[in-house]
Amino acid sequence: MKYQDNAVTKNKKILVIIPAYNEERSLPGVIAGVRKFPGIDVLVVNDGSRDATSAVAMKAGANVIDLPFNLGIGGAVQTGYLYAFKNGYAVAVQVDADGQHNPEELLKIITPVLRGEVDMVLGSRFVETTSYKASFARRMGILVFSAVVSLITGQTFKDTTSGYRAVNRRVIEFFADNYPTDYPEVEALVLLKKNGFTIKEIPVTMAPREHGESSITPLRSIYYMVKVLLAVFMNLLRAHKKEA
Amino acid sequence: MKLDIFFFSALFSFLFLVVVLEFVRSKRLKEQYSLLWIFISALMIIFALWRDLLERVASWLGIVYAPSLLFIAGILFSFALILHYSVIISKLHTQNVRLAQELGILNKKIEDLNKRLNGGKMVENDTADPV
Repeated sequence: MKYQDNAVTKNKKILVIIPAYNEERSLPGVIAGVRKFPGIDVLVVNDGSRDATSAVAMKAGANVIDLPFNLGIGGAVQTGYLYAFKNGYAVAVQVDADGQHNPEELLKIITPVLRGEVDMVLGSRFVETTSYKASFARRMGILVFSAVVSLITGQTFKDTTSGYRAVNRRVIEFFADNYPTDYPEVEALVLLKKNGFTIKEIPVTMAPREHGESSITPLRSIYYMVKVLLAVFMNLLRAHKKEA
Repeated sequence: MKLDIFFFSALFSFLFLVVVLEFVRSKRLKEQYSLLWIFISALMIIFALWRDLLERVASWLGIVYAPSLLFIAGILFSFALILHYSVIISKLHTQNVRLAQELGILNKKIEDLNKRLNGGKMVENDTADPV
């Protein structure tokens, strides 16, 4: 086994899941950042990219799963959880491919999960003041989601749309079977809380994306809001199905 | 028998039923999805042959202009059918996603095994091959 002695990651299989759609420019940096940590495996889920995402990721030393066609972020991320489940990983961490998430803070995200303190750690832009600046519309959306999710779950969440999150084996197993398809971040939080998992939000710094375009356009953000709110309320109406 | 609209309606309904049954026979339509269409064809034939049935049902329901009963029934039926299809599409979508995920994971597994067995040389399983 290639694991080196490391206080935190020792004897635990840890997988970093990077969903990527046309991210050939930012991926190498992200993968290199993650691979600085010994004993952490990197999995890039290439979501039907039309550029060299897959080749670039492989060259940078990541494990790569090529999806046969574009599933959207939710389907791609779930592929990672399914892989983590099938391969016996104890902890899975989601990291965005666009370079927004600072790999230096991986351990900060993973440690509470590894120690068994919580089932999920959510890396948040807003728990403390960070250098991150979002557009007005985006901030409003984030505020609305934050209010709704906090109200429903009874726990205060500041940054429900953050994709920087670490989960333990129980959540990996749960996500392998239950994960929303598009715009999954907010809904996943509600799903977890409703099924009795614990979540801790900790501050991280986020950089503006280096390359490429965000998938959120003004028109899409309206669909995003409506779809996510509907999904969240539907989750409330559903019976518990943790064993499913 | 007069060659009036009732005759043609009956003829059309009968042909419709024949087409549905032919689709099922040639396996272009699954049995479970054909039942509804067979039922509808039968209903159309009954209404075409039994001339005052439509008038009677309409007057029971307090509908003055009997053909409007046909329209409302047709529209409601179409809505129900479209909704039914949306449900089927959603189910297919879910299954499709899972298939793509499993396929991606399996391909990775095959590549890993190939690398281990053949020292990195890909043998026979060329996943980059466009379909």
